Amino acid sequence: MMKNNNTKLKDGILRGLIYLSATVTVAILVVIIGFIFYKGLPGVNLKFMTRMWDDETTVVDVSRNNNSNSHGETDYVESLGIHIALEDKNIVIKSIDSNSPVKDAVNMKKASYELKTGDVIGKAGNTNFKNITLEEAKKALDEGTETIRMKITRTGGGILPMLVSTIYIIGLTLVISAPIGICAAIYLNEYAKPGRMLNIIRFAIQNLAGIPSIVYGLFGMLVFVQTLKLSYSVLAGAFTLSIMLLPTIISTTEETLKEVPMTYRESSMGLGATKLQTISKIIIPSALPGILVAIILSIGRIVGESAALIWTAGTIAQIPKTLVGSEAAAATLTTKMYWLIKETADLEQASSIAVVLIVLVIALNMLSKLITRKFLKKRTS
Amino acid sequence: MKHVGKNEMVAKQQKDYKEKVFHFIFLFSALISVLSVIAIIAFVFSKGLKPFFGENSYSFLDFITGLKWDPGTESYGIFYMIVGSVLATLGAIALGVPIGLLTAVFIAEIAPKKIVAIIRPAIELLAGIPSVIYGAFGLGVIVQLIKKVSPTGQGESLLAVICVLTIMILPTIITLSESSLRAVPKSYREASYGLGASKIQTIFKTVVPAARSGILSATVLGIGRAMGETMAVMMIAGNNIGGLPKSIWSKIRPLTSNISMEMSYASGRHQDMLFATGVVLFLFILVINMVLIKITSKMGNANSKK
Amino acid sequence: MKKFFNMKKIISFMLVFTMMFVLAACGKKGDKVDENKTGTEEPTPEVTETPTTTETPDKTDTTALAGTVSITGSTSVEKILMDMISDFTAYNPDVKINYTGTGSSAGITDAMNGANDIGASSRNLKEEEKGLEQVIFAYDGIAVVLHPSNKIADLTIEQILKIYSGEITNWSELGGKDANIIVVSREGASGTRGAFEELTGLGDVGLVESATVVEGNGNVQATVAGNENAIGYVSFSFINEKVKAVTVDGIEATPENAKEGTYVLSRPFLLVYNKDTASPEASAFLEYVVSPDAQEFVEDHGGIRVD
Repeated sequence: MMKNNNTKLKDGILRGLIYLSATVTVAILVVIIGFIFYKGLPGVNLKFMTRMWDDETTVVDVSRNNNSNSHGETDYVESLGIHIALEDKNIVIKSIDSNSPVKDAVNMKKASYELKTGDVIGKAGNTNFKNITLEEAKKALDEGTETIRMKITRTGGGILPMLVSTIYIIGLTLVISAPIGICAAIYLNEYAKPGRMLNIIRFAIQNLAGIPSIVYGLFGMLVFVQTLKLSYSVLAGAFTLSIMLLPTIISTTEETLKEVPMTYRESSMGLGATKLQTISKIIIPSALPGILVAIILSIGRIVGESAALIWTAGTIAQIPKTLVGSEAAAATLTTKMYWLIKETADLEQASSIAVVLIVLVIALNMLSKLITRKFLKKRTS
Repeated sequence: MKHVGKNEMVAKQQKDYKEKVFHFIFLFSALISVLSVIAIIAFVFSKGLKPFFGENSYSFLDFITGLKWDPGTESYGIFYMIVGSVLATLGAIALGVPIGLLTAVFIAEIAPKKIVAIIRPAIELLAGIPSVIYGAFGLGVIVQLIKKVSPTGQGESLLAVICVLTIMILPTIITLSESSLRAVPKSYREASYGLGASKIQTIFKTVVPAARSGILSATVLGIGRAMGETMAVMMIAGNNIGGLPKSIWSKIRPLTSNISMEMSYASGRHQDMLFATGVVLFLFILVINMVLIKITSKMGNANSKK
Repeated sequence: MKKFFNMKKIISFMLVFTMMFVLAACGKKGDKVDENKTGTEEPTPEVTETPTTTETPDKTDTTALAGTVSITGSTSVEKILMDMISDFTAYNPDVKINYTGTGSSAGITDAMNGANDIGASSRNLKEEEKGLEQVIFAYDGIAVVLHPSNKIADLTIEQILKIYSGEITNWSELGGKDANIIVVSREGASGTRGAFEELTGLGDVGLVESATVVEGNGNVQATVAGNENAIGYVSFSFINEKVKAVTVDGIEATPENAKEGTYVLSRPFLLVYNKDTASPEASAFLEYVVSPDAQEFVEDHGGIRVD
């Protein structure tokens, strides 16, 4: 009886510990997500998602309207067809008439640069708009020559460049690593015979999987950025990540290849198909969902990577225009988030980026779930 | 033998040729991994070992046993960092493995399906959160909490690093332990029940011991992850420039954060020394990998024996 | 059979793609070399082969400047420089200026090697770096900051030195409350740390081992703002309501005092370049940074104007 009680007590304690551990794990997640959303969610809005990061300053020429239909309003500039307002000591375009000439503004390159609501006017003609009153601004905008030259600042503060850069790096990395990874998996599962060669390859893949991303960062910087002179660029980043992702892609693909029943191969070969035909017509199509999952997993890792990208792709917020060179440097969402904490101590804005990241990660997880589930259904039916 | 037409012969030859080309492509793709490992070792080691050879070389002994890192005065000692990294990793394992294992037991053995359907995606999400976010969380929450109780009056500490690393290795430990628990044959459990054991007894006396090699490899993988973690620990470690940690309240400077912190500024010998730190980190990881490979191959053997 | 060919096509497409990237990479490498006019270290054939004459006519025909200028170096100057760049390029839309924060020493080294067009530095040139031309475009002050709740308002330069070298460890030694001082410093090779150590004389004694080291001005600010017993140092532009700047030797940390030289913890911001290889675009930008328009930005970011 005593012993029984003792066992029950022990069972109870262990059971309690199990429940406690599970609760702690879930609680940690809830606290982290809660913290990030609490800090970051207020900053996430359409402007945050669609604007450029840096303020963009442009000088434009605007040819005035002749038809002045004076409203007599203090904030309306007749010759330009715009309403202006004073915000934070800056003169801001509040609204633009449908036939306003500022829509046909041209920059110094004579290319069209349409002004938009929210643009800050920094200078018009020779008048500097710093610490200016609304009346003075209106006067300066209305007076002067046929064409007026204005300095316009379009406010940044958005993560558009990082979103685009992240997509670029995902695309590039996958274009490089997916074919290599899938081919390698095919070799390992379909061709390789047990032996020294296979052991070496497996050993290499296992080691590759264990190398921390900071070492990939060192390697990428040394080889791609410095030795191959790609400079901080999307391509240098993509090459580095491609190597880093190989083990993930290879092992996930190999798993799914293994699940393709042996009978498929046998019957295909039996019908006279060559090995290559069997692979391309039978094995790859039936392993496709698994390969897709491997790719989604890789996307998740690219989105979250920072240490391997900071010294290969840089931390500049711009939409890369080339693959290498100084116009190709690009910060992804994650690297920019780190940069923000480091350089500005702005945990709120960093958390706003984190909110976007977490939503992305959840979406990717759900997508891979969906594919796996569909795949399983097909298999069982 | 049937006469084979010339056209068919050509077609067959082409086919063979194609087969060979693709065989080569597949093989080459597989070899890229090998080449990558060799390239990583060659480049990182050659740069990282440079300062210890040739004229005006830095003593490797001073480097590996030194207790101070101050590039301004040309002192590059990393022993205290190694100690810090190892302590942080051990701490995270000591906390993370029990919590992770018990959570895995909960998912695999106890929880009803409905709860598993909630808890498993949660753990997957935990695994997918970028480490920078863990760093921000550590900075904003954990460091602030520790500051309130620490005798040093500061939150950046070994303890903070241990806390964040524990959270970060949990998903690895849980997922791997769970799958090895699930792999334990049903007959084991039935036999245990048959002997009159309770459910909890069965779990801890039969199922967990049977899954121990899987749990062990989860632990080793966790060690690797904790050791290599960079961005999150860098924000919360304190990164002191010298001195061994005296307690969990002490600041540490993990090897990884030493590298990433100064990489963007460093040049010349300073940069080489950061690569040398990378080499030391790499060697640690290599040993961990070897252990892991040993365990998994043993596991494979054990399974095949069954 | 049809499907098989599709597969083959896909694979060959992928291979071609990969190869294209590699080729593109090689091509760009060449472009970059002649853009930056590198070649002091390793004179690649591209440099000598590049017919520079084809470029020059465009430039002389139209007075407009065109080309790319790469600036690397100090991260302390980033905010000011980014504003100057966006203003300059607004008037010269064909000029593209890229700035990468790599640290002062790296920026100067790059300028000496010809790896950039202009190097940005937040410290004076050392003797061995004097071969470069320099343009001082601003002065910066380093503020010693405390948590706003800290009652201490003034520190002498000696006291700061003693705190950072570990001789003074408790605020009570300075007339404050009885609490350990949390010393916050920057990562090694940071321009601000270099300037701070030089200006306080800390370089000779060395930073106390137990100091907290964080990366970036923002992290220093955040750490000090988050700990009532902390002391840190940041550029003037990082002083805000979250941290309190002390007076040093009784002199307030203001731009005026720094420029006059009465505030001891100040340093110049400068751009360095190679006189012989400076492109017209780079020269134009170097002229621009000391113009009144550009100096506005220096003031905007808490720096000190040179004009």
